[in-house]
Amino acid sequence: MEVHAIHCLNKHYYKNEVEQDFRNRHRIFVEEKRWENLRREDGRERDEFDGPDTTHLLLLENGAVIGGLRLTPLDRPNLLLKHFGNLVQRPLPDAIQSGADWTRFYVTERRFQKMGPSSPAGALYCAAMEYAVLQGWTYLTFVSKPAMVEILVSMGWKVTPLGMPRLIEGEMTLAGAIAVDEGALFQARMFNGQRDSLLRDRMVEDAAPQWASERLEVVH
Amino acid sequence: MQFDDDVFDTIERLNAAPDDGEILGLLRQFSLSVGYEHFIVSGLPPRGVNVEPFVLAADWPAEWYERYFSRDYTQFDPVARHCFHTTTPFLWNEAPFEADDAYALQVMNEASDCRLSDGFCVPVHTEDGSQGCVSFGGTEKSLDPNKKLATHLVAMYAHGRLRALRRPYQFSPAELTPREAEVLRWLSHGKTTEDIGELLGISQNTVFFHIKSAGKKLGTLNRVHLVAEALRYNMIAL
Repeated sequence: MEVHAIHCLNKHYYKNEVEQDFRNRHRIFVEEKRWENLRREDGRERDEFDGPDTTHLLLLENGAVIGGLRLTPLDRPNLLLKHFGNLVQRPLPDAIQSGADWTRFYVTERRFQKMGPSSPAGALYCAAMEYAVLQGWTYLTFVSKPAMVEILVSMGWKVTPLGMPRLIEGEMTLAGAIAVDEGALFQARMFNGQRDSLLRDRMVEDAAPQWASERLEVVH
Repeated sequence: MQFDDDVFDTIERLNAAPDDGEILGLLRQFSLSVGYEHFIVSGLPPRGVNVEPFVLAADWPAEWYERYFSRDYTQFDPVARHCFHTTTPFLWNEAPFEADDAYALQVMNEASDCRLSDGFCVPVHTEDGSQGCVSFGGTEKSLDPNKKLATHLVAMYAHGRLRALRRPYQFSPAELTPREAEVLRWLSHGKTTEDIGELLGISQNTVFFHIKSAGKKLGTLNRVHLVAEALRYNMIAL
C-alpha cells in the first residue's frame, strides 16, 4: 500500500486516481451512507472544496484507489467553518493558519482483522498525521460520529471536542480537533504496525528517480 | 453551561490521564454528576465467551459484580445484548426483551435488588469489529438530552483512553504459529491441557510449550490474559 499526496502542483500525474476517488466517494457517501444532498447525475461525488487549496491523500493498492481523505487549510474556504460552524462552540486549539480540515475519509473495504500493516484505515491515519507534521500544521479538525473519537483516542491521539455533539439528519455528529505532533505520528505508526512512511509523490519520483529511491531507503 | 464546561474539563483530563486509576476517578465524578452511583467499561465478547477478562474498568456494587460474572449474566442481560444491535446510547429500560424471557427478567430484577434499577448504556463498536460498552447504573430513571450527549461523549473518551493505555508499546505482535493458534482456540473453549493434548494427539508437555511460547510473544501473564489478547488481535477466531 502507498499513500499519494495529490495537490495542485502534481495532480496531472494522477488523473486516473482522482477519477477513481470521485467514483468511490459517490458509491460510499451517497449510495451506502445515503448522504443524498451529495448525489450527482454522473456518479462522481465532488464539491467546491476539491479545488486547488485541498490536498487529497489517496491510498493505492495494485493501482486501485482503496481509500482516501481530504485536507483543506482552515484559512482557505473549508467544509467545517462553512457548513458545520454550528458544531464549533469552543475556540480552535491554535491559530487558524495552523490547522486543516480533514474530510471525506473512507476505505472501500472494511477489513476486520488484527491491527497491522494490512489495515487500510490505519495506513491513512499514519499518512494523514505524517502529512500534517510535514506541513507544519498543529491540529486537524474533523466532523464525525462520536465513535470516531473512540478510535482516534484509542490510538493515543489527543482529540479535543469543539462542542457538544448534535443530532444532524438523525445521526449524532461532533466537531473535534486532533493535536498534530511527532508523538502522535509515532503512536499511529506503532499502533498500526507501519514502521515507515507510506507517503509518495510521482512528481518527485519523476523529477529525480534516483534521489527518490535513495531517500526511501534512508528515511524512516 | 457550567455543566458543559465541567464535561469539557473532564475530557481534557481523560486525554491526559496516565493510568486506569485516574480514569476511574474521573468517571466516578462524572457518573455522579449525571445521577448514577455506578458504572462499568467493558468489551463484550460474543455469546458463550466469558466476559470478565474484557472488563476495562468498573465501579459496580461488589455483590452484583461477583454474581454477574460468576453466573455469566452477560448471556441473558438485555442491556448487554442490545449493544450488539445499536450504536445509539439507550436507557436500560429501553433495552428490549421478550416478556416470557425468564432469564432476562431475573437479571433485571436482581440488578434492582442491588440498587441498580435503572441506567444508561453507551455501546461502543471499535475499528476491528469488536464490541464494547460503557454502562452507568443506579436509580435514576431518566436523563435530560444534554446529559445524554455529554455521557455519550465522555464514554467514548473513557473507553478509547483505557484501550490506548492497554496498547502494547511495541510494533505489531509476532505472528502465532498455526499450532499455537489451534491450542489457543481450544483454550478459549475452556479445554484443559490434558483435553487439548488428547484432541490434537500431542503430549501435555507439547501443549504447555505452545502456550508458553504464545504467551511470550504476546507478553501475557496467564492463560486468561493470553486468550483475551489473542482475541483482541483477532489471532484466533471465535
